[in-house]
Amino acid sequence: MREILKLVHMDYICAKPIGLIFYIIASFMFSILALMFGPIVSSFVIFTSMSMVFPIQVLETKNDFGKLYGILPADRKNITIARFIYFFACFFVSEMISIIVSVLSFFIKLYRIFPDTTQGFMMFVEDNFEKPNYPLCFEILAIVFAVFCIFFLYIEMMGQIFGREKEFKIIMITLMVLFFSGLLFFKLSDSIFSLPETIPGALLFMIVLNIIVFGVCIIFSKVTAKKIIVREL
Amino acid sequence: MKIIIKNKSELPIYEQIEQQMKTQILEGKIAENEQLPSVRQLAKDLKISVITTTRAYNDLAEEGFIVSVAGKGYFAAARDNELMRERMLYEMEDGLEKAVTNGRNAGLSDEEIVDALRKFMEE
Amino acid sequence: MENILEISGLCKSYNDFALKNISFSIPKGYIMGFVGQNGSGKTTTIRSILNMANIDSGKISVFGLDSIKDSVEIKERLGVVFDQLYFAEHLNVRQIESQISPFYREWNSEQFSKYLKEFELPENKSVGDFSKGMKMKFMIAVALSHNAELIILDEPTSGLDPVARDELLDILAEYITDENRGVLFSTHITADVERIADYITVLHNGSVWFTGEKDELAEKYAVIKGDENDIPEKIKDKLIGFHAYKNGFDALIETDVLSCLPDSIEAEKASIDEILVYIAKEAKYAGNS
Repeated sequence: MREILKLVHMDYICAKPIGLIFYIIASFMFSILALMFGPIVSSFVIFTSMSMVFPIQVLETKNDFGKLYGILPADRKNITIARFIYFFACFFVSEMISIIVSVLSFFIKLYRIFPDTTQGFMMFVEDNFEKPNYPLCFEILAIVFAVFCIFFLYIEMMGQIFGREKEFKIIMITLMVLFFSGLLFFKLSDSIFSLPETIPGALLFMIVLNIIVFGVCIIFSKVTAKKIIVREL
Repeated sequence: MKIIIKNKSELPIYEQIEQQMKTQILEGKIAENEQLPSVRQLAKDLKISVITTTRAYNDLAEEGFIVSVAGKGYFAAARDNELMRERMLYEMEDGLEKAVTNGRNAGLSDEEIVDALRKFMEE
Repeated sequence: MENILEISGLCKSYNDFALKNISFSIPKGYIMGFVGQNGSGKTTTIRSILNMANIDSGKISVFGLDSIKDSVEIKERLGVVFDQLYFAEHLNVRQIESQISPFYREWNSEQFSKYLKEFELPENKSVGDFSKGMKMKFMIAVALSHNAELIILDEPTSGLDPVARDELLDILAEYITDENRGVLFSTHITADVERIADYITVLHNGSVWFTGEKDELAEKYAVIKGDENDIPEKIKDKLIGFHAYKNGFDALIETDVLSCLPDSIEAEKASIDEILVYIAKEAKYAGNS
């Protein structure tokens, strides 16, 4: 809906003066590193999106935006939904950048600037570049994006519903749950399924995963909106 | 038209406006048929409430000092109009009555009161 | 006369405070002063109008629209000024404009620029660095730039110097020259509304103590002082906020009772401030809460 886009734009303007420059510089740095050491490094670009996300959360606690939301001609539900979509958009853009960078890295092969590629670590890097596994690369990037995004949106939902003070506890508990279920998953994964090994397969995997993440984002946002809409501003 | 409002006066603001406008109309400082500021314009200029200026204008219109023309606004009435004249006569009689009472209370004889009146006429 | 704002039977309770049956209206084209002690319920009433607080019962309509169902449509045509800035403080005025202008159908950017200039608001400074007076004027500039028909101000002058307060009155006086607009001005600094308000609602302890024309209230009460013993018996229960001290007493009383008083008791027309003080005293000494 158009109103949601206007609200997303509002969050963007709010975060921009604080986070954009840092975001660009950090993304650029990680991109160079990725070009040099391997496309997997470009997954770090996904994390740099936090610089466009943190300002919003910090400002929420410092300023009293409640009154602004009360005055603006906008549906209160949409304000919450737009917030979640803004966060998703930040991560999604980073995911796209990381994919582009990883593709570029296969072509540019910047690792060649290093003089000695026959020992240890550099041999590993060279291997990565000379025998590129595009599908796996894309899949890993998509998985990193999905886990990170869903985890973050989950924390945001819990924080909005139960209050920011409880957030720390929620983060700790969630991390532990994730860690153990991650272990369990890896034990079982060999026998359950394997990731697609062709490029079209990988692309399909990525698209489906992104759609699922977006769906989760919408669900979280609507749950949050419903829970907090009765609260007074 | 110049109106000065005194905040600390015991006189309500609408009365201050009425008195000052009456004086200015009678003395010719406001010309006959001159257009007056609208109630809202006057309220804005004096930084007072619209209801106050409306009341002042209504009272002045009732007493014949100003005239309201539908769709155009308020205008100063012609000086020789009947209502105004009646009003001023009433004010004069009221003033004379007060003068006589006060003079007698002060112990003056009727002749002394008339003398005092003459003195004012010569000024 | 059409009402631009109508509140009837508004009730809302919190743990330690309640709005009881608030009813008042503002006709189009006029300014209403909304006065009362701190804590009397002014801000809660305003938050109820803005649908920022959930009301227990009663009905509020703005521009003839329901304040809950048509809240979004109302806010298109409403300007609000609070005592604190409600924008992100690290942004400048243009950034904030790009944030909020998409929400208003009738946002007028030239008008906004005109007000920024007129109020001398710098474009490159963060609004958080503005003085209190500038912050208030910025909120007004925003309120005036989307053709708002009703402006609600909640304690806009608290913490402002007399010059800024006077400038605000100038702005509102200019605003109300259009008879299709209205203003609700809530303040505990009654001097701000004493001259310019057409109507006034006095809130005391969550209830409406008086609502009507300001001139009517201004003429209705007087402060009397003198010797306690000179007070005629029959008017003793009409005294409001009676206070006896060593050299005499003072109290508030309705002006139509003044004729019963002996000359030894002095009477002076009561200002709105004095009315508020005596109402509060009355509640205190009568043991009401």
